[in-house]
Amino acid sequence: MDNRPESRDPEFLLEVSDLVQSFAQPRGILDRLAGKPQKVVHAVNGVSFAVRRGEVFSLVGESGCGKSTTARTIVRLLEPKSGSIVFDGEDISKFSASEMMPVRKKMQMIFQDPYASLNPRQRIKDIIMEPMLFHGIASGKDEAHEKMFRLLDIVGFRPEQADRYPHQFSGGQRQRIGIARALSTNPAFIVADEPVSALDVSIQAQVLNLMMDLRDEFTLSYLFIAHDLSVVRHVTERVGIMYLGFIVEQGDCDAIFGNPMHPYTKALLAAAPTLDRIVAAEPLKGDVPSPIMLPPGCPFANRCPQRRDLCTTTRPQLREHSGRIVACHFSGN
Amino acid sequence: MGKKMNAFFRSEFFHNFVRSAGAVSGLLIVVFFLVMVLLGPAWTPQNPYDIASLDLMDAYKPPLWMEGGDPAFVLGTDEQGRDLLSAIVYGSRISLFIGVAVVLLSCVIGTFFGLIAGYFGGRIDSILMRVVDIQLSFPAMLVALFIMAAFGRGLGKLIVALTIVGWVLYARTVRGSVLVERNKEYVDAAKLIGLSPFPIIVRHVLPNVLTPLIVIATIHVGTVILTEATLSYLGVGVPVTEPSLGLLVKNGYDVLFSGLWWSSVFPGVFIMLLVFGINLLGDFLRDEFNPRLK
Amino acid sequence: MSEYLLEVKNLKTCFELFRGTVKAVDGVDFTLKTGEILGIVGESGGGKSVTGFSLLGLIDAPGRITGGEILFRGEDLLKKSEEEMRRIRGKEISMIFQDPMTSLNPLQTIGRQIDEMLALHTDLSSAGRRARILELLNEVGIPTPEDRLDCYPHQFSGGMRQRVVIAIALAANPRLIIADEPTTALDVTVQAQILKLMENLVKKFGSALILVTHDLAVVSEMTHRVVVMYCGKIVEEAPTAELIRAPRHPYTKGLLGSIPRITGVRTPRLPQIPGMAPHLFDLPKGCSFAPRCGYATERCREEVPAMRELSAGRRAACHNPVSTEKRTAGNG
Repeated sequence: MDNRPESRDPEFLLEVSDLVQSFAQPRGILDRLAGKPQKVVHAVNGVSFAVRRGEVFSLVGESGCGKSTTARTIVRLLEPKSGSIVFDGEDISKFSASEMMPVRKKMQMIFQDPYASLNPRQRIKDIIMEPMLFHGIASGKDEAHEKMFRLLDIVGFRPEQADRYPHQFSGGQRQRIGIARALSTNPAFIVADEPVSALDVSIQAQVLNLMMDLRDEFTLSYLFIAHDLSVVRHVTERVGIMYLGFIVEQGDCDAIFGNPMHPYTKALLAAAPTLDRIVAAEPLKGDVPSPIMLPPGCPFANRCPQRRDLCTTTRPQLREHSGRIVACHFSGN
Repeated sequence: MGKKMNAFFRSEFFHNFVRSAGAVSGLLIVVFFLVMVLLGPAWTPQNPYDIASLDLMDAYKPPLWMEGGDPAFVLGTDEQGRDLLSAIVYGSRISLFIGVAVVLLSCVIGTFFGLIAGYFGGRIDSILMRVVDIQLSFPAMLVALFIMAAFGRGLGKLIVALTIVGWVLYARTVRGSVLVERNKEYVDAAKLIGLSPFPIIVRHVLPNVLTPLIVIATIHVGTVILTEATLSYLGVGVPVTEPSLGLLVKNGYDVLFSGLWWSSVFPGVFIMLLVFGINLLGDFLRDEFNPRLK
Repeated sequence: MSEYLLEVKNLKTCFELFRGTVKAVDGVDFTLKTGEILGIVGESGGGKSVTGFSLLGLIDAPGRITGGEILFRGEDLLKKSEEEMRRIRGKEISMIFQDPMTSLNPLQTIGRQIDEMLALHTDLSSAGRRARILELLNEVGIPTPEDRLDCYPHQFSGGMRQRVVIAIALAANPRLIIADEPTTALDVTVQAQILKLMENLVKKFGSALILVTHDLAVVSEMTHRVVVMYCGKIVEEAPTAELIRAPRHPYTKGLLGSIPRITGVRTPRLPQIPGMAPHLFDLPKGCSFAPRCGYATERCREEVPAMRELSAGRRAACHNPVSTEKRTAGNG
């Protein structure tokens, strides 16, 4: 069912190929009786990328582009519709819950909303010790306690704060608790889904710095999901730009930010507000098309300033262009 | 423990509570009933259902303050010489017991099904919620009446019947809360640890859906006591050997027009007072726990 | 009449909570001229949104405006009755909120919602109002407005909804628009559209705009002047370009430094402001920023710094303002 070569590159910790995710919209009884076809939201439409060991790879895009859905499918919170997810040499896309168990230990997640991501009825120490005790990372309560205090210290808490509940902390502090929880299983790979977008600017910098320090200390690789281009640029080695469930451009972060090739990447960079721009570019017109009725051609065609006839009829494939890949018929020009 | 109590007395909840006349009166009424019921046998002049302690000579005694009142029978006696105050204390005990038992059972059963339906969704959810919908489309009284008529009187049967009527309330509320909670990221985090559904439901979801139940349960105790009283009044509730307040009203009603008004009116007043107190308390809790009013 | 459209003097708004009194806005002064775009920036708890709501008298219990003056065209809004304020809201001063979904009524068509505003604040005939609605929708960039009049808010995308909200805000030609995080819920490409639109409309209609936001980058692209708030107080005010180039208050400097840049050299670590904002229940004795400030001295911890003029049009509340010689790190 999978015709890719068996030789998997040990350089890559995660290889995602042709990942597809879609959701059927619930139909009411009346719609069913009327025989209306089921509407399907095409959230992720064949996404491929790889994360090297020790690397930060980012997926960037606007809301509804499928970046979070991709992340949640990779960690198997959602079942992939098709495609493969090779993690540390194993295709986990069809793993059962019990097969996933050893993988879960190595793959953790940091969430977007610091208020919803911690159980309000659990003490901080229990939030951090639960994964350790479950996976047998600590041999007993004493060792778990010791590890928990060490993790709390690393993310900047005093030991006596371990007995408190989440509501006694600020957003930035909660996010650091979430990071400590993610680290509690000694993971090699962390999916960070918009980890700083809910935080104040000055706190954002603290959390980003902490995440980067931890990468060195724990030899972590990150899949970073974000909409804020400046944040992405700051932390990322390689980046994939997503639009309507497709990756439209992918490659080295500095190269793409310095010289975007896909018209959408260009527009995205031009639209991001900056502190030091003299003249603002003409903003992009129009809205993102509906993911229920994908356009037959290029997903970006209806808003693209360089659109030609070919773009509305034929979907462009990802092609290699000077060390990066771009899905545009005319990206060379 | 002392530290916790201290924190409680300084909390906003306690602060609002002592400033709410309704809540304090509600609590006083409920505490009054609890004390009366728990210590009842120790101070009531007689055990009204111990036939040996009854004396027909005492029958038809009016309340103490009326012409012919007897200090031994403060609220008077019925036609068998039974002390009305003692009967009310024992009756309240049965009423309260039924109220609390039904609420506890309904709460456990309803929460169980609400958790299952809300967390797993899909077909289980559809089936359970249709059952709830159908049941809620019949008047609770009618369902209970039907069950009691079919199975006959009895304390246990009454509790079962009222639980069958009551659990849907909890199931629906819990399911609603679970639908909100299960989409929160802390549940995702629990799934990513590798926890299976059961521990996630018990350890993570359940503690976060309990708060609204406190309000529902409090008010439900009042509703159950009223329903029970009605059923007993209609003669399909508790057996005559274990009369609740409702049955006392009914027994008194039979002789109401022969001048013994007190044996019907006083139990009625006590039902009203008890339910009123419970509802005052429930209203306060609802205001406190409803985030939309804050 | 004074040269200012709006003059806020020593505005104070408090919230009486169980745990104590929170001074959400504590002695705020600023002015605004017609045609001007003023940015109010700060982080959560800074008091920027409460300031915006206070201007319109939209503070609900347990909050209360406890002092100061809000002179709008020379008249103190705080002395107006609720009835008079209702006439001012929408007609003279209108507000754009962060979430377009909550400021639109989901059960009414958008045509009806704009019409309501016009009927309330103008004396146009029914046909005149319809013409004006189409004009407004066209103005805010909604294509084929005739077809859109009978649509409900849920039939629009987030960006389109915010355009409708702007159309409603502009309907009665207000002199002042207060926009509270108008683009925070939107995507960057849509944000760029909306900001551009607001800028053009303010120019065209000759109104003034107060932009309340946490995003200094948005402020730098949109506004003429900026007020920076921290813990309920204004800490610095300056023309936008000057503030971005050479912030004088250490908080402003720290805030600017901690924003990652989209161009220029990448630094391995972002400069960060240490610690976190104090709780409004227990502010420190001296300057609220002192515990996090690298420039703080003994005096800062003892004495609340007064606002003072540093140069023409620039003021800061700081005992040791950052010198203008040094440029902020990471700029360029």
